[in-house]
Amino acid sequence: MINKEELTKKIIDELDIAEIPKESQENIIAKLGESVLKKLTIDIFSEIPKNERAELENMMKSGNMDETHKFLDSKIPNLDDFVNKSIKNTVDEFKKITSTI
Amino acid sequence: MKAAFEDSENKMNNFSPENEKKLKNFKKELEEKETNGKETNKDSVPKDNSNEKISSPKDITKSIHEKKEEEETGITDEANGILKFGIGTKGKGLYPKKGSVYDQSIYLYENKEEATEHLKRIANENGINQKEVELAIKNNTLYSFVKERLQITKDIHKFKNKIAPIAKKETTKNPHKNHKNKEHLKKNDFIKDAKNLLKNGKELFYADENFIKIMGANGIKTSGKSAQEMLKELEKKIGVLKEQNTVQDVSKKENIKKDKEKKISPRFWSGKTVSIQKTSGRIENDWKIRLWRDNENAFVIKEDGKGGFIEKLVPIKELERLNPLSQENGTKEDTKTTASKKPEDKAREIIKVSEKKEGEEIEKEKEEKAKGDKNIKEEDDLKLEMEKKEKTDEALNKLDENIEEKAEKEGLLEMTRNVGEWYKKRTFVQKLVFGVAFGAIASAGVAMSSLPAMAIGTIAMASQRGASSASILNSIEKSLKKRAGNGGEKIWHKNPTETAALAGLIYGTFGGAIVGATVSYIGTSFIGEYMKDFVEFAENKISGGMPIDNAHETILSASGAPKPQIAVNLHNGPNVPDIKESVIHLHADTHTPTQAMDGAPPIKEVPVLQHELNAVPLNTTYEVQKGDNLWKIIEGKLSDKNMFDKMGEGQRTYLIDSLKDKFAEMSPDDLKEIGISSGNIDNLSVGDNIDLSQVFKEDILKDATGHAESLSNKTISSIVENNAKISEWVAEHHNEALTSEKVESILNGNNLIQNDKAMDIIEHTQNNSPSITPNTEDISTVPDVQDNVTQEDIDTAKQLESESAIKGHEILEQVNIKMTEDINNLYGSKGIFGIGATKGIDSAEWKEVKGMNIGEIFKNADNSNAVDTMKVHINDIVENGGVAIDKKENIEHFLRNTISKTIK
Repeated sequence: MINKEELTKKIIDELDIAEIPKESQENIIAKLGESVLKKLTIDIFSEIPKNERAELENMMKSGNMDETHKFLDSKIPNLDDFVNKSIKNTVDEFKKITSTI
Repeated sequence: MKAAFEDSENKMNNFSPENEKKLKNFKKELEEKETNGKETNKDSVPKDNSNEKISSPKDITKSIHEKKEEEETGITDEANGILKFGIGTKGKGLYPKKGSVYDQSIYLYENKEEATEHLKRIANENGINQKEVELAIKNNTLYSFVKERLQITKDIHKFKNKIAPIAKKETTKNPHKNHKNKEHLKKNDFIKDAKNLLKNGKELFYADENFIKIMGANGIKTSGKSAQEMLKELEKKIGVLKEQNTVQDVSKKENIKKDKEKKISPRFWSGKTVSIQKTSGRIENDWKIRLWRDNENAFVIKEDGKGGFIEKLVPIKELERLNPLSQENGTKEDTKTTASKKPEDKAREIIKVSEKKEGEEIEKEKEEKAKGDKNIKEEDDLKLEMEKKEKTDEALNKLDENIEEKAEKEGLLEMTRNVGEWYKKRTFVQKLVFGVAFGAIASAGVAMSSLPAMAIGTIAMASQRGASSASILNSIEKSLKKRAGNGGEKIWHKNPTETAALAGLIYGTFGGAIVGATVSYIGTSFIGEYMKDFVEFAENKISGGMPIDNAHETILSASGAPKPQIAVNLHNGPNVPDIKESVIHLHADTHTPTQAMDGAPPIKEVPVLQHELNAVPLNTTYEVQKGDNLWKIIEGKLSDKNMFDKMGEGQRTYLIDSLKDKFAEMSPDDLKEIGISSGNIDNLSVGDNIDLSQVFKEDILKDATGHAESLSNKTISSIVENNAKISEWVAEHHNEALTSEKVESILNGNNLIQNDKAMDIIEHTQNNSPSITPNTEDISTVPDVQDNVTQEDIDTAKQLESESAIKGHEILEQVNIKMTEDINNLYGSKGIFGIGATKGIDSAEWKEVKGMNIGEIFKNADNSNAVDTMKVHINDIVENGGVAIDKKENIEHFLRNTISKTIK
């Protein structure tokens, strides 16, 4: 049995924010989403040659996800792993910073 | 010491005349030293010299005085001609010399037997006949006998305290020529000594020669008094307050004087917040604080979490009286005085008064204590939580800084910030679902290809301007769907756990609205497919209307909005009853005022058109068949959804045209994206699979329907009339193509068409509602009609539409300006010096009334200010402009219509 609450709890435990109020937990998760998204943007675009970045940007702006995926698949090997790794790295960096404060 | 004393006493018994010479020499030597001003220490204790060989009492005396000298003992007994033992301890002997000219001191014993033995020994040593002694004992006159025979000045001290040892009296008369005891002591020394004596007053159990000397020096008579009585007199004499259990720093005389004058330190007063030195554990209710220099008041401390503050002053006597364990109450006092150890706390001491209470009182106290402990714990927990939260926030900020640094290095700062800005504008729940999805990847070990796709999709949506939640979801789900179909196997078949989790996430945020909004949407959505396939989710079990993008936002942004849970059983799939309940709840919530989760104001209840709520679910995809055109397709879909049930012809035409214009606003690429292969709404190809969902959204439908239902009779009549003319023409000329030019001629010229079109554009301004185009269904019919219509005809028709649209937009712009101005005047506020100014067009009042019709404005007796204001405004328009009103007409529509007429 797995549900959203269970999943969220795992994340909360992993982020070591179980001690703080639920509202704050959600705020942190929500805010962390922004950091992850921004970092992922950087990571993806960093993999794309500078002269092709405008093309990717236009694809994204057009909202054509098929083309976007096709483009990224051609530029980034193992795209899914790449995205997973980027996200994980960002969360790990967050945890690392937290431990040093 | 006792052993030493006894040993010395035994040796004393062996005193012989041979040692007298030694004693005299010693005396002489000692006197010389004293004359030379050697300092002495009165309180020192002689070393135990019991093992030294002493042949006579004189040797013993010498030995004692040698020790005293070594320890810088002060006034010597030898100088006074007094022989004594155990300085600082109980004196037991008096050894006056027979015939001595000195006045003697005498030790008296409370214990008669001990005193008798002592006196007998003295008499024996001084050559008094033992028989006489025995007779004196028998007659109880030993004491006077000895004094008389030995010429001893009698002086008796009696102590009230039986525990105290016998006081020792020093003679006040000292005829010895070398006696310098008093001479070298100056007055100041006496006072100083007196203070030292007083500070240890309680510990003084006997009055030795030094004690007597100090008393005498300070003018205290020493005859017939106990040591304690003398101390009290001395205390009064020198005017120094007795200090309890504290060591007074002599160097702080000025402070003491100040405190004496004010009794209470001026640094403390009732209500003053103080930092309390906790002596053990937490400060409890029975802890009191007392300033160390204040013997009169105690301070009841109330803890405030940080320390405490003085709540009130209580006299110490009262405090002690209240203590049931105090002596006054006949039980042992359990008052503990604990001096603060910290320098800053030296000025106070904490007294714990343990109060023994019985029954309910004790229980009550325990409860209060437990409550206090609980509160303290809660405060501590809260403090920890806050610290943790601050720490986490700081980490997030630091993380963000790092990301921006990297973005700048990579030349991607602007894009990254744009993505961040876009993210910030999302509703809280949307942010949460992204966060959880990302967290699932990073933290929860959920690794499925759909989540990266979702992440990329999110970035892509962030790159788009004005992307709504629905468009985000559409793109994400589209991507997921595509992946789900890879290899002919659904994604949830490959990753049931992850899919269930993701489905739960999406459903919990976007999905609830989607499911509740339309079954047809479910049919084409990732969630819908998943549910149907995985849990056989029956479409007809869901009540709902068309998908409403705004409803998504409403639901998602409401704090009271349910967060539907999908309890996913890996074997059985989601818990269907939960979903249904959530759907029902979501619908209910759509119309329930709630507080926005991310700070938005409460959502006003908005009446939803009945036909929308009861509408039949709509499949928003359509495959173009021969003879179809967009008008027909839209009309068919609306008809299928029973949207026309309560509409007349004019309203139906208006509604269809409104939706058609939505498609017309799309770019060719957008049209291709939704399945119109030509990228032209007038050029449909058989087999085109058109996705109508972007127009058939509930908000668009609701808006268009609302306008259609509030059309004026005049407009409706005009539309119907035009339709009739066109239909009649088509009936008579079914072999001719219906071009725009022909339409113009049918409707008596271009002006009519254009005017009507402009009029309708004006009537549906802010929502970019389309102009009403006469039923020109044949113009773009494919392919049979297309055969009869030349491209030139189509282009001409488009041009006419375009021209009329331009003209309409010009009028529209003027109407908008005037409209905004009017509303700002009605509901705006200029504030004070511009501060607090609000625009009427953005005001809650305008939002309240703009959706109402005129009848509602005039119907309510108990009106809000917004309604009353509008009522007055409408009356002005009617009276001044002679405008007729239709009670069913929408307020916004009425105002725009009125303005547009004025402009025209």
